[in-house]
Amino acid sequence: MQANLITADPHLQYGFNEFGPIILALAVVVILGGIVGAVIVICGWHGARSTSVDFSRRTLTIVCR
Amino acid sequence: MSRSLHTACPILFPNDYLHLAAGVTVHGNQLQDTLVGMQHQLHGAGKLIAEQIEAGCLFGKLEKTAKQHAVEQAHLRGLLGFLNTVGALRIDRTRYSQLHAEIQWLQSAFLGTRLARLRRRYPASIRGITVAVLRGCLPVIGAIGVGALLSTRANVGSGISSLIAGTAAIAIFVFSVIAHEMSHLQLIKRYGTGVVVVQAGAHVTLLRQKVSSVQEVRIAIIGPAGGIALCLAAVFISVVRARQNIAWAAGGIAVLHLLSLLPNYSDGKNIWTAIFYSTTAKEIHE
Repeated sequence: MQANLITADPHLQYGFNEFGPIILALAVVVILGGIVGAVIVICGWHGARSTSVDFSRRTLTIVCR
Repeated sequence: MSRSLHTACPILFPNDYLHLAAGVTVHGNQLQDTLVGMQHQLHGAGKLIAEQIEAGCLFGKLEKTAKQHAVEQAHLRGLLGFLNTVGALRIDRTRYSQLHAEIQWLQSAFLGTRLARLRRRYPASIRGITVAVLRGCLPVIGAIGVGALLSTRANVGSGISSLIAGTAAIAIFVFSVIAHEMSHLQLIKRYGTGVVVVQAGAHVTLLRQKVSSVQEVRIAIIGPAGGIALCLAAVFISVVRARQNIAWAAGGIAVLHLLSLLPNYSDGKNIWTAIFYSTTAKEIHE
């Protein structure tokens, strides 16, 4: 790095060995949270008897209790 | 072809007390990082500012010093950003300031301006990795826990209790990330280079010296391999114990580790760089 006040040691490896997919895991959790939110909005706090996702038809089926 | 080291100055308030992390000292015109075995060159007023941070000072006072020596704000923040990027900057602040910084960071994330988070440095040990991973995973752990509790309302899937499945998923996720990073770390240590663990938000990174391209590729591959191995063990145990949902969760987490090998992302980026760009000193300069 050259920012006038400091130059990084040329042997520095600011590794990319980082676990970035944590962000993807958060995305999965957000999807799950979205489904739960939809169930609570549609069915109320009693929730659903069953919830299923059909990826081929792109449908989310919620059967309320 | 050059590769930039993206530096990021964290959110700072005038009353923040700044100092350097353990193992980082100023010697003459050099900022020495004994844990990683690095010597960064300080220029002009950079030495004075670094010495002031080493002695410990308030950010407001540091700004005044910079102004007295005609140092531009951008350059001061460039130096502080560099120190933060390598995990060498420590900030002591009040709880109110911590909350204020978190709110500002959330606002920046929402507005897309991407202010940097404060990076923390941990020793390259199983304890250091574990603490860094737990801190990094805390939002995920909380989110999975809340999601698992709420999903009892949605009744997603059937059979096993969502709570048990959620808890198991958290445990597999955390242990697999620790296995992932420990695998990297063991190989890096074997190559005899200095290394520390740097954690910023949900990211856990290893700061180290450069090695040869072949070694870079090996280091990049061994991490996901370690994480996947632990996930596969979890899948096996879950199948044997007839816990299909947990087996699916472990399989999903294994895929996440595999995705870290995608080009231009995480470990895959390192492989790509090692194969297609020569690892010369030029690479690190902007």
